[in-house]
Amino acid sequence: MIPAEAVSDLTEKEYLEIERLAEYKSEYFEGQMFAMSGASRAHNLIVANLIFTLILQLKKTPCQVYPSDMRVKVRENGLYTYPDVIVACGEEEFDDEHQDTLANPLLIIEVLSKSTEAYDRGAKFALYRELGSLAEYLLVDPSRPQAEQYVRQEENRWLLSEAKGTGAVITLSAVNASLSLADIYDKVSWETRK
Amino acid sequence: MIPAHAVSDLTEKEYLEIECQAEYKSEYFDGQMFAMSGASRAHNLIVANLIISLGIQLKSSPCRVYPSDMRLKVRENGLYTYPDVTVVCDEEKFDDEQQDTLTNPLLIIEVLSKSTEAYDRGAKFAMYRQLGSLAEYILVDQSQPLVEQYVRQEENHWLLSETKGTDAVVTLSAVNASLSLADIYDKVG
Repeated sequence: MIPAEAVSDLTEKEYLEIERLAEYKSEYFEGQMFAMSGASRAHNLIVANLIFTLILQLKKTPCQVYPSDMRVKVRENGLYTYPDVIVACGEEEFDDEHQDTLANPLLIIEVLSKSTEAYDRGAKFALYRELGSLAEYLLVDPSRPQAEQYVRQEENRWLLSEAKGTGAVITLSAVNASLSLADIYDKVSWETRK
Repeated sequence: MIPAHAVSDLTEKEYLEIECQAEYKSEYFDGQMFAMSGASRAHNLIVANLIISLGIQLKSSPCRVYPSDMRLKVRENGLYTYPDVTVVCDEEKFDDEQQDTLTNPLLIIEVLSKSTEAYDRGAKFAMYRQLGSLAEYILVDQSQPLVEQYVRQEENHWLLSETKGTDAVVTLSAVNASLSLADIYDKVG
């Protein structure tokens, strides 16, 4: 999902009150609310493929797979957002009794969009890195078969690996699953690059 | 430097012919030429600070520090570009006898700009990762004291570390130097 426009100077409580009644989703950070727009066909297909593949593999495990209607709060810095795909394993921690704001994702996947690529790779990833529960962050390119995987190491370092081509497979060791790029990009067609 | 607009369907040779006579710099990839515009005050100050700090530390070493007028070619994928700061420590390898296109940088630093942040973090970094000589890639934020460092590991993995705040120091082990954020951001802001 793509943040579209901003509303300023809101408390977290005000944000959540508006958000729970709103007809569209918004992110929230430091008093500002950012409306999120829809996404492309490829983006949606990829998210569906990711969820499908992960759910099949995690069916008999304590892990839950959520699409982008599950709100995440990064308690460490106050970001509220809706990642494209979330996996949480074990007991889920919610921010309050509404149980609609997850606070302990183990894996977050974002499918890149032109308008949010800098944010997903830059400021948002920096905020996600502060999320103590997060072990892996996966970025998926919708324009070609390519994914970048960041795995948390000691001392808040992250190991970047790149998977390219529809023959490649990504091992998600934190959730004990794997993603083949052939599955991720199933039925996604690319415009031929010049 | 920031790519501004594109010219299409050029060979490398045509690009270099135009580029060697041009009054402004352009990147080149896959037949397209991208003019590069200037940058902000903060961007320029940070680049100057980086070059001073590295220049002083590497004075008596075999390493050379170049600002963004040194063209780089990534032979592995055909990208021609001008990184904000380039450091070379081995014998320099140039792409041809003109000796104006370097091919073996050890360290590249980019100061982030809004218009190129996605490129510097995404597609451009992906192309830099194919550059066999490259050991470290540093991204410097111009709006806050924040530096991200990628260090090459085995099997084309890269280790990301983040350094924040003006008391912090980034160790550049590949070139045996370090950068304090106080120095990088001196007189900025």
